[in-house]
Amino acid sequence: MTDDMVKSLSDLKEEEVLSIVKDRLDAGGDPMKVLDDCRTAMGIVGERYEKEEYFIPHLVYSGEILKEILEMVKPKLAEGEGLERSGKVIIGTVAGDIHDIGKNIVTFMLDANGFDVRDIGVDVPPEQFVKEIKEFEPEVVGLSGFLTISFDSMKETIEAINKAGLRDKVKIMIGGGTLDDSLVKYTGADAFRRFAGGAVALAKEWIGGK
Amino acid sequence: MVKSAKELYAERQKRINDAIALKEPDRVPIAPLDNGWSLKYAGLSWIDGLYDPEKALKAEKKAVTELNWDAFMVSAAGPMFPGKAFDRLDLKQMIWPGAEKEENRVKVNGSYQFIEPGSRGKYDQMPAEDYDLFLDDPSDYIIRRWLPRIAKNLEPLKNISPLHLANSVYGFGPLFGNPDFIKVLKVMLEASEEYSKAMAPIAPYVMEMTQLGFPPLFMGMGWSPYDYLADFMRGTEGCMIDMFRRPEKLKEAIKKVTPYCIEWSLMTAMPFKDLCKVVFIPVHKGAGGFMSNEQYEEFWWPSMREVMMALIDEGFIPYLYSEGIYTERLPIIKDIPKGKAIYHIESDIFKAKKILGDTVCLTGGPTATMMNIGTPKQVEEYTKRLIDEVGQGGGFIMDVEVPLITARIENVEAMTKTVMEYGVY
Repeated sequence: MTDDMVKSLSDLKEEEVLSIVKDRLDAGGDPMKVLDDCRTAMGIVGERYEKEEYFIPHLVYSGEILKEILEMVKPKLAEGEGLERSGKVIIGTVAGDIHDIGKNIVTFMLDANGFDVRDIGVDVPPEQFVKEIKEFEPEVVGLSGFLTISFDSMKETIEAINKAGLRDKVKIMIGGGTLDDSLVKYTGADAFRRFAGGAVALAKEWIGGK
Repeated sequence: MVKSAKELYAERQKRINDAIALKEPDRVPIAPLDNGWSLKYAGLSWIDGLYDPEKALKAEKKAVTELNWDAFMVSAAGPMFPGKAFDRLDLKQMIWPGAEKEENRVKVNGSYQFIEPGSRGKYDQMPAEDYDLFLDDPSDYIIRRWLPRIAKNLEPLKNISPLHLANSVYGFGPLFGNPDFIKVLKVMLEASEEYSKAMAPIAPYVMEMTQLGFPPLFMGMGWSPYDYLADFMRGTEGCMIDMFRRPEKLKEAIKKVTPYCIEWSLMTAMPFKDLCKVVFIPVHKGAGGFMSNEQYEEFWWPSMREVMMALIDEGFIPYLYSEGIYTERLPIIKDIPKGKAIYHIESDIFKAKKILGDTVCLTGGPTATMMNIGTPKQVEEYTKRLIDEVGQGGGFIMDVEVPLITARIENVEAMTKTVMEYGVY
């Protein structure tokens, strides 16, 4: 039964997986087990995306199905119950830019890999990054951008993080459609990754076995 | 002997036409997509361009004539995006610099940006349940349901009676007698006046530039039927989900809007047919990663090809301006008559030359980072490589990887100089 759920979710069989979840919960099945299976299935979705068997629409659709499952599971969970997460990441699109497709994919992939991700949105000014870092205390900060104007915004954001005395507390990665490695030095970031898979691997490397 | 403007015009036009026809011109033509960069070049800002479009055109004239490019474009940072009209409409579909209302403003005095339907609480996307309403009567849907969503001051359109009831004076009462109709007409009148003021300088500008010896690169504009829905109505994610949940509805809608996309292209291109054959089609949601090749061939490419073929049949040259990674699509988009289209390829243009070089004219150029944070020397070297590899045998117009917008002036000058000197065949 477990295998069916993982398979139908990772194969994006919406009706099938929803009916499996409903049957399980109706029969008094463990909601935490459902969540575990969700994570396994989403891990498979992520792997297929990496292998280019799945593309962004598949990620988006799997996210939609997941939302429906969580709606069903939530009322069955005890207070405070949920999946354990390790490693905190703040991610946002920098000031002057509202593009978020890339950022959303990275968020999705980090989430699927068990990170505690706080997505702070788009067109985020440097001072807001600083404020959120102080509050959330992440190990990793991800700056996203698509327009060429974002190059300078990233630089300014990292300068602000520096000024606030937070630079040595976080590792900073940058990413976005028009970026490349040359921007690491220019912006003062720690690394650039072109694709979401690289960003996840890097976060794992940085946060380590935590 | 100094060449006359007329001779220069003919020379430049031939250079571009040869490139399009996949022949070797005398030199690689250069016509970079500027998107507001000329404002920077002229010491102006985006607010200047959007709120005083004549300034944008003057800036563009300055850039094109001083750098001696082979073609000009009507600034995308000016007449077609009038800030004052957007303010009158209280437009929710975009944010732009200098907007009257803070919520409509970009935080940096730079490019305007489109808001993804349904995101940021600015306006609601077209809900999936609306497909049937849209399919049943697209015009009514746009007028009474869509415009009220994307422009706050057009909200009263929600309350007017459908125009298809106004087939006689009996339908006039409910329409003209409605105070909401008066409200909305006032807004439309103001916006229309601002639009026509902003667009008035276009025709004299085109005339002036041609008399100075510069042909336009393109005049008409077109759209991909999938993007018509994904860019503006159902949204990127909405259409992605529709490919799984309601593929037939999505296809039906694409089929419905395909003739509209053709109509639009011809409407904008026809008035300039004698002057310019190229129709610019910026494409977005079929990019690599945005769907699988199977989905691309099922949902995206066939209707786009239909639009392009309709243009080609009318003697026009579609200019497919792709953004993002397009490598995996190259064999698919090769299915177009030889020498009848221009494709902008961001990545990977060298591979594109190998696959598409015998079929379409390519545009592309130095990378975004190189133009924005690189040195003139780096730009020069990369430009030479492009000339050698992509320019080989013709069929190439030098552009940039992504529109210039914020590029360093010295890098644009270096690219231009390299083309002029090194780009001679």
